[in-house]
Amino acid sequence: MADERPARELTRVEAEERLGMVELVHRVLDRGALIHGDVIISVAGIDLVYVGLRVLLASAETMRQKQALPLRTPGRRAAGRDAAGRDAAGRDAAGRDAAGRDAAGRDAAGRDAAGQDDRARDG
Amino acid sequence: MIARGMAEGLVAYAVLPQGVLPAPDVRGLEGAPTHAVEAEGLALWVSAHHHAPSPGAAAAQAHHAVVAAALEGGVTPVPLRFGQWLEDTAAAHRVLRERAAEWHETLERLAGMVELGVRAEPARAGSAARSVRGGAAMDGTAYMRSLLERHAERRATAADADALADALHAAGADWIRQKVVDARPAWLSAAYLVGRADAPPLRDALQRTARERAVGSFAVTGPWPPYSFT
Repeated sequence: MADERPARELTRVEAEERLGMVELVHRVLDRGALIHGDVIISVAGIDLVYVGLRVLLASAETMRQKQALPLRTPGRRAAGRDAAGRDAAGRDAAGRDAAGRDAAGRDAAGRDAAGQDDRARDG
Repeated sequence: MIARGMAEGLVAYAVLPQGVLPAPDVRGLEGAPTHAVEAEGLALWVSAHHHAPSPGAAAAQAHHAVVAAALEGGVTPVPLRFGQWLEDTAAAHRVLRERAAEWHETLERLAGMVELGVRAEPARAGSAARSVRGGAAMDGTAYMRSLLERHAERRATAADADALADALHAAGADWIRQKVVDARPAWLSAAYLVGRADAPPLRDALQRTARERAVGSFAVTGPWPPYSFT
């Protein structure tokens, strides 16, 4: 039986807590200095090379099922990649497609389809 | 390479000047005690683990807690991104040797600084999201017209976000040392590097500007360790 209770609006405190968590995760996962070129961590026994928030927060099981993420064991080519290192979706190990755009549609310089640079106004 | 079995590796959190050490009660991922590996005038804050910890929101919070403890100690650290794994102490010393010049320069640039974050949605963004609805009832011409209208509205919203970014920067120009702006059609995300003492007046100026411009939604977060300026 469907739950017919009306959706409850977040209180201001709850909304602020959620925003704080989003901001924290964004910074910890997408910003900060790197020691190595890649961030490598093990999820459920799989060595995972990830870039960005969406990959880290996806469950290992979801990753296995959808094969949406670039999985790699250091020193071995990831399963399901062709000779050019592209996966079934045509994306390379960095998640870029044949046109060099990443999953968010940005090119190698970080510009999106409209030419907007992530750090366009970086002071 | 990830450590396996009982081999012990290090999770790294932040780089600080040599001699700046974590307090005994600063705990890292999975509650592990933290310590510093020191070399080349630098201190790399780490915790030892038998395996690379699993990622997740709690792990991200634990990582941030260590970096924040460094900032609260009075010295602005070079925050490291989550998931930095070193095989052993020798690897930590090797990294400190290789990156010493870069990290000394970054520590000098970030000294006395914190980061404030802004998330904003221009008032128009909500209507842009609602502009194409009920496609099943439209004929082809009406549908194409609605697409054109949505495109025009998205462009206008992006212009609003750009204008808001410019207004915020102008309002905080006296305090902002550096900025990173990510303006997308429906929202604006910005990070500002600012002196510790300047963070409160900058926050006030940003909030005042948002009120004056009747922004749809707006929040200032922080002060953060300067993750966005490494």
